[in-house]
Amino acid sequence: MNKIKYLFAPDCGKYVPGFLFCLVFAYIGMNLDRLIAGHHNAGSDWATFLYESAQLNYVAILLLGGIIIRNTLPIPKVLLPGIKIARPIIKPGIIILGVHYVWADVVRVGSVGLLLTAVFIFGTAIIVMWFCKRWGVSDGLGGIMGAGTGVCGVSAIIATSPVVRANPIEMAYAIGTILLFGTLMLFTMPYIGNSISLSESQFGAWSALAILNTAQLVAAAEWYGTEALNTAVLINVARIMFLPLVVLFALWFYVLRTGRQESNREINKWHLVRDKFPIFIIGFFLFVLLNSMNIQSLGGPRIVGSPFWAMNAVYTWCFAIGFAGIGLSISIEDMKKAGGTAFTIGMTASLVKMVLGLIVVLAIGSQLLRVAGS
Amino acid sequence: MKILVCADGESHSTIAIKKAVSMGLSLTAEVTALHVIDPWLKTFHDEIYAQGRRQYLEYVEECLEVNAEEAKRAFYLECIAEGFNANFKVRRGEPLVEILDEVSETVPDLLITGGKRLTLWGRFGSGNLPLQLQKKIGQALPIIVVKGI
Repeated sequence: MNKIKYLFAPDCGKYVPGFLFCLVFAYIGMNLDRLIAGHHNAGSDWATFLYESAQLNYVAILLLGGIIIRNTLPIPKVLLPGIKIARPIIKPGIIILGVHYVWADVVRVGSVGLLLTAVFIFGTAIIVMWFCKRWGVSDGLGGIMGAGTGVCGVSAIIATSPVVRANPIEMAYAIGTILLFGTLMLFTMPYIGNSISLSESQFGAWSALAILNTAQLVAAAEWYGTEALNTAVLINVARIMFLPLVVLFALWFYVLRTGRQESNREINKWHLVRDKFPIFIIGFFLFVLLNSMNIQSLGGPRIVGSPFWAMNAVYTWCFAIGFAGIGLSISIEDMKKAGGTAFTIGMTASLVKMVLGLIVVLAIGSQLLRVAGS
Repeated sequence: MKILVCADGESHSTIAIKKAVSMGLSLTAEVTALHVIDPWLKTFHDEIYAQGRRQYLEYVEECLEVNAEEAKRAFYLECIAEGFNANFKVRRGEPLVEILDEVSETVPDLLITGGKRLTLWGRFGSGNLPLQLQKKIGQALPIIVVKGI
């Protein structure tokens, strides 16, 4: 009994109410989606408007509903810890999503994605850091905005801020700015994509290149469609693999190159790369490998009753709970922290990435970005 | 008479502290500076793809402690320069809530706070703490907002 006790954090009970709240909210959101889809299929005009014109699927219901609840109702404090831990449930969802791919997809879409993300990530990070340096923006703010707008938003800021020693005020501005523009992109890009008839795979690539924050990126792609999600997740995996390299670049650009490293703060570069490496990606590739090996006993995502089919059903639930957590965590008060120089940098970088990303995916076309799956 | 002054270490709060100290001297009032350590940044350590979370939390904590120490040092330097005795307090939490709690616990006669000159976006933004304080406290306590640059 004691051994079982040690499997749980001593204060894990505080997460239960909020997590259950997200679970119930996700259940309601998914059933509302089914209800609207059912009426839409039956030819009901209002449902067709909601389903087709307003694109109100479970992602939109959970995100918009979550934002409305969070910002208009007084959320009891007891729910907040559980709401926060609901967001990372997307991570196991992404690992499980590995069953959607075979190595041919990873090689084809992944290599295009790798090339695009390398250009976009390092392009954004280098240009932002260089301009910040030129315009006299502090190293701390330049470093976190370069990484934040280049790689994966707030996650990149968290990884980079101790390295470039950003101060708390700069961090608050940067996080507020990334959240603001990430949220704006989440709610505008699916409509822009639809209005210009962007294919799902093109939209997936576009969102993976342009949307600043990773949680919003996954949500926008799932909102647009399964194919968009498949492409976005694969390119996003390539994108977050670059996180340790961007942190390393920021270390070189701001600290090593200028000889400003303090002797008592010597940074071990190998430890830095190891600590910043998103280890869960290995789980994702393990599932891709297992799916590619065509193991009979595991089946596939489309073979009803097989283990991979069951896992495929679970990923939607992971995403739904995660999106409920994201929606309920989007606080307008947090976004109001956006400001100062960070706002200008964030706005410019997001607009440039959005436009350039769209041009690139339109030029590449759908075929090269499409995940065929097993 | 008791004066409570908010000290967040920014330039506008330095001007507010000067004002509080000079009022404390002229009115022979008891002045207390309050610095609030806001743990808001820490709430982001569990971002989905966040790596190096422990290092981030330690770094933020270190920065917040250093800021508090610097605010305390600047306050006491101002007091020493003016030959004035005053108190410095640190609280931890959401600044608006903590300032209101301090007001209700110590019941000062005057609250002095610094305030930035705000742009349109800034006025919309939550950085407008003095305005929020005025709204919450209302007529119950006189507030002086010293505008910075």
